[in-house]
Amino acid sequence: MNKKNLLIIVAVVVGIGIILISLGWPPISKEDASGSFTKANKYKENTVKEGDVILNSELLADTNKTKKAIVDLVQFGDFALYVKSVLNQLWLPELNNFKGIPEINSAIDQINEFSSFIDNNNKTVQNTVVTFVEFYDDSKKPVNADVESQVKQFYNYATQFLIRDSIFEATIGSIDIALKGNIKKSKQIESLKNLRDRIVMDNFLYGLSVGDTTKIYYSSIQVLNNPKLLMKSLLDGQVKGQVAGYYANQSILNTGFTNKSDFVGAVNSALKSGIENGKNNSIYNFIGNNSPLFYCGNQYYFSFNQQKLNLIFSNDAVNMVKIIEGPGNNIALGTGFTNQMALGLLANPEYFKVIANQNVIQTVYWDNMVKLFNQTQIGMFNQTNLNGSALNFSQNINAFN
Amino acid sequence: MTVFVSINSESQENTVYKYSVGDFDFIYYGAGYSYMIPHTARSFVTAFNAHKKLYNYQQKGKISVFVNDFADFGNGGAVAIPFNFVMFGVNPFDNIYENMPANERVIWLASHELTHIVMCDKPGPSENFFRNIFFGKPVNDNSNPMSMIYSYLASSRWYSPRWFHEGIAIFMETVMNGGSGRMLGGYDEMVFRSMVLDSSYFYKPVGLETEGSTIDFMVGANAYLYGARFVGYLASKYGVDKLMDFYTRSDSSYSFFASQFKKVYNIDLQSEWDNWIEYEKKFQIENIQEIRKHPLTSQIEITNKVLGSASRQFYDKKRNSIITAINYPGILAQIAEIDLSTGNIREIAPVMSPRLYFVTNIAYDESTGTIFITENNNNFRDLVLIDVESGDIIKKNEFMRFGDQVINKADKSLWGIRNYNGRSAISRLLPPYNTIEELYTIPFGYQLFDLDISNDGKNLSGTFADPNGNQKLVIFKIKDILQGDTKFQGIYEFEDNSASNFTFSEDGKYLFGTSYFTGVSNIFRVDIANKSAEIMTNTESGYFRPIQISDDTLIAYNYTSKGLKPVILAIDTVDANAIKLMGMNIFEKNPELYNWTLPSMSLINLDSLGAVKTEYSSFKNTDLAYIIPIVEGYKDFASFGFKAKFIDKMYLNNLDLSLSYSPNELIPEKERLHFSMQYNYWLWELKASWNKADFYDLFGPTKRSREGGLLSLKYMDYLLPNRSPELLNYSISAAYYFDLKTMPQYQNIKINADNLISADFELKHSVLRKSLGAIENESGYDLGLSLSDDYIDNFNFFKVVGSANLGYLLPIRNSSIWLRLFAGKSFGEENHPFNYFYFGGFGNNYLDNNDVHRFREVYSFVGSEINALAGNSFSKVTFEWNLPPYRFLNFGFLPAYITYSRVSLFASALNNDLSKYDKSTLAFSSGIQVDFELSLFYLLKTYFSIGYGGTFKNGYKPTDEFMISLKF
Repeated sequence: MNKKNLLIIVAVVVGIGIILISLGWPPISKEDASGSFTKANKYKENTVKEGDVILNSELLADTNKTKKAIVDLVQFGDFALYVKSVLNQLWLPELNNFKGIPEINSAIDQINEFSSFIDNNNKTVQNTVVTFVEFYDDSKKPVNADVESQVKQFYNYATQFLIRDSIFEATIGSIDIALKGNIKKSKQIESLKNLRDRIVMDNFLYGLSVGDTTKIYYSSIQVLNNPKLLMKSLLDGQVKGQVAGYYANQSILNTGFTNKSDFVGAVNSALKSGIENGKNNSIYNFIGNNSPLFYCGNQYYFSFNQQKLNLIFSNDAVNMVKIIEGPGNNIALGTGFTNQMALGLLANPEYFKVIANQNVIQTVYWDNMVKLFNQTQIGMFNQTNLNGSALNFSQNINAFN
Repeated sequence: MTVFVSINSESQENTVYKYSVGDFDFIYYGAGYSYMIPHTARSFVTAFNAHKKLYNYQQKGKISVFVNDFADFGNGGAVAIPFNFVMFGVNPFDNIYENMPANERVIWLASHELTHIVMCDKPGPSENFFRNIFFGKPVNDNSNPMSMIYSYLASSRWYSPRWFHEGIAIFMETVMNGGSGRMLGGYDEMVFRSMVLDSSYFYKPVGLETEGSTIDFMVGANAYLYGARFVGYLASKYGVDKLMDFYTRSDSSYSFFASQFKKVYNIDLQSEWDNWIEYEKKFQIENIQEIRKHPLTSQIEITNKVLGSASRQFYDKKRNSIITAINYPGILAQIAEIDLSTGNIREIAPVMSPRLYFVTNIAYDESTGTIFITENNNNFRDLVLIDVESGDIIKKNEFMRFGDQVINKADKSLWGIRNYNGRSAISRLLPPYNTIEELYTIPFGYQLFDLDISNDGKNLSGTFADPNGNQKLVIFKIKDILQGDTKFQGIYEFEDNSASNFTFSEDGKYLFGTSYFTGVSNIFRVDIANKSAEIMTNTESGYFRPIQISDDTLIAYNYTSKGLKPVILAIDTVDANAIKLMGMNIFEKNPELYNWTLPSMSLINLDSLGAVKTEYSSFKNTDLAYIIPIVEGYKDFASFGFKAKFIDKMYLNNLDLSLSYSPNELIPEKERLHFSMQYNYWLWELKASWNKADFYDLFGPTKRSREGGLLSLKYMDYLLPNRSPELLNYSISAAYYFDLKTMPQYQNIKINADNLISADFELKHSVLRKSLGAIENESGYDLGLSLSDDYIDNFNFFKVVGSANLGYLLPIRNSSIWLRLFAGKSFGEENHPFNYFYFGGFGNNYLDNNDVHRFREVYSFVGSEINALAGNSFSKVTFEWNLPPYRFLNFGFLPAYITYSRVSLFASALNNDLSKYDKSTLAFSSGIQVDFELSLFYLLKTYFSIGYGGTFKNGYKPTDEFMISLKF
């Protein structure tokens, strides 16, 4: 062995030694090391085995309750997904054009967090739906499943959802601050303002959906930048398709259990038909005594909690699509044109130059909504406040068909 | 939203249900926690089957288990008279300092509480005989003290000391649950080791009852601690067979527990108790020597005061002080600031509803000086925000049912655990702390507690316990929880030992906390990245709640036999040996106990046991509880008869019937038959009587028996439900008296009218508090307003009486002063007997069942004859000083002893005519009363009182009065 090889071997050995020492070898006896401690001798037997705790859910003991719970869960899950779709498909692409503005960055982050919140929780909803369907279908009864814990977690989700839906107002606020800042290009300003219009309308419609009058009022008092464009975008088939397609892809129903039984198929078809065709009354039959939480998802989410608002959903509202898609440039928006009390949307008739019926306008004025009405393009009215003039109003609208 | 209403409405239902299966009726409200009823049933049936076999016990009738959600923390209790009844509070227990195991709580609690039922209910031949005679198990009813004897005869073992009952229940909970019980608890070991270290007094059996379980900071917990140790000692020294002989009531056993002890162990209880103390001291000294084999951790005491019980502590850098809640004997529970440089303690605000071990849940936001505490801690907790400087309440959110809270410094959100319906949920409140969000509901059987949040607001740590009680430190990402992702990272598992009160280091890389891993509660530092633990202390007693205050120092509580002491410690690794747990001796010497572990509750098939769920009807479930013979007094004569009690399983529907006859011919024939009925249903009370007799009329000057009839109806309700210690309640009552000869309220005032209709309205508001070791309330106020109207002889006599009692706790331990103010006016015809208020006398009978301290009552005026002073209006003031009670450590013998004596001094002034302000209407009185509390058979508390006082009135010769009374 020459001197060079010897040096190499020595160097390798020393190197290995250094590495081993740095990795903590040889191990130090625990008895000698500072920080050594011993465990007290203690008898312990794990007495509760997997499956020992058998809980009971009265929800599952009643077929009708189970069925209803499934529908409620699916509806809410899909409603949440639809909201997410609106945020991701309509808001985010526009907001991404303004990356770099701190307020917009913050709004984007919040929307992304809200989306993750919906995604994660919808996994819980999906799991719960699967558990319920398995119980309902009798295909599998996991006797020790803590089903009510899942329901409770869903309840937590729904409650949080309602708290965190302030993302609408927060995003509007962020845009307002951004608009006061350093955006130089007028085209960009216009674009952001139009997005703001969109979010104001989305907030209004969302408010109607969940029966949140604070949201409805908030949107009502916002001044819109370009209502005409807003209406156009609402009616734009491409945008609608974009949202609907995105939403359909992620639907809570895509859990993989679709073909498990006839019942599951029935759940799917009933819900889907309800969503796809707002005029189809089968959704009422399916849900029973509860009003639809989510309705007419393909077009607009024109639904609201009737019980909370003490209102009755009018069949005329189902015809909304026709009303909106009225002839030419004459566009109006409204619901509830029967004798039943209803809540709906009313576009500023003067702005759209569509409603000539002075009775309606007069009624709105009588109702001390002058201030509100003059400064806004989105408002709400109540059938009972129209004092019978609704019929005329309704006739005028019908005339557009 | 519709969907929420439809699902959540399940928990809003308030129907009462009965789930009957086997030996049990499980009674519960609504459907909020119905999901756990079958599991509860399986757990109780499993535990009860084992008890029946071990103790050869057969249950008569059914055991009622009232499953309830009346408090945020889980709890249990058992009663064996008149029916076997178990209370089960469904929520998770508090796991402070690991004084309770964290395993699946229902089976654990069933093991414990059913031990009480078996021990108290299992009859011997004599109990069987008397139960047949009385048609059941009589309850001690102080309206007729003979019932005490009947109750003892029918349920002798019920009347045993608390340590006796809790000792065996803790033994059974431990062996039935695979070692998960306080018999193997590190906390219990620490208590007795510290007593040896501090040379503390070990109570004897009598002293434990008179002082040990009432006076020190552990109050009632000492009965559990001593009982468990003594029973464990007996099992390891003499074997488990003898222990079973001692506890099992059989045909050949003695009914009195101490006699049975002598029979089984051939030594008297007191002597063997002394032997145990010697053994315990020797055992602890060996453990201490083992600990001392490595250098002990040195500490700097922040204050020389021992804080008793203490909450989580917070270090305020700017103020250089600790913010915490404390409760030690002699003070009222409070939030305190302890100055680190001087050790001075400043009271910031009171804690009105302290918990025994941790006072209250507390969090502190140093940046705003806001303290977040929970109040109403024994019911549904409130969240209270308090300003650290002024102590003022900033905000109070009632019934949040939220605790274990911690501030997220990043966004000021408040995180914690919310408990209800048997579930826990990680929850948060965002500023301004009005709305609570439940974020993650922990699966049933698991627990999460001792939360902390890293300084950067990104991580939330906690101790996660599985159904077997295995605890591990876990970390959740805050962001994940908010986004509905509830997975967590296990950081370190202390195997089958606790992981308590871990808090993040300043840099968020470590968690500091304590574990009984070595058998001693030492401080550990857990490296989050490496998931490894290092031991930081080697103490003889125990450390709790460490928090890092600088790069190289921690503050923590050091346990002493008098309570917790805040200390400063260096951050350093040490070596520590394990100690022996005395409970292990029991298993090593009785290996058969390994087979006492309960079988799986899933083996119980409820359907095959005939489980049935029905709506609970308090009427249908009302049964005869017992019938007992009674002796009563009617005027000065004895009457003889029977009393029967009917009651339902929930104690909602209660009917007492008494019928007696006075054979003495001096009593007019019409008055010889005596009848009384009292019926209570929820908040209603219906009374009827005819020639009402009263046991206490046989003894002493005060007479409560009255000729004639009575029919009355009363309703009382709470305007502030569940707000202890604050009470605001009212009552409305109406009564019709007929064939009267004497005023119902005043025994010496004869009337001529036959009939009287009266109506009363009473409103009371009080906030009364007491410190540890108190025998009664020591501070606060008690306000009352009474409006009444008597209609008699076509006259109305409307009266208004107001009262205010104001108390203040003196710096002398358990000594208080009180100012008692009364005023009243009648608006009826002046100088009519019914229009007067009457005063005079102590008011106590020789034998009595009313309040001992009658001199505090409005119509008492010590030194005068009863009803001697009268007026159409009055004002009265009493000043009272209650001296500290003196507790007797060993005054008596096992079944009968004196627990304490206490002296009260008082002086009163009375103006019995407010229309005048001269000396003729003024009277003064002063007096002294000495009370002795006597305990008979442990649960029968009686009071012997003597008093003396005089009345002084201008122009009259002073009069005096001597009072002697025995109160049942």
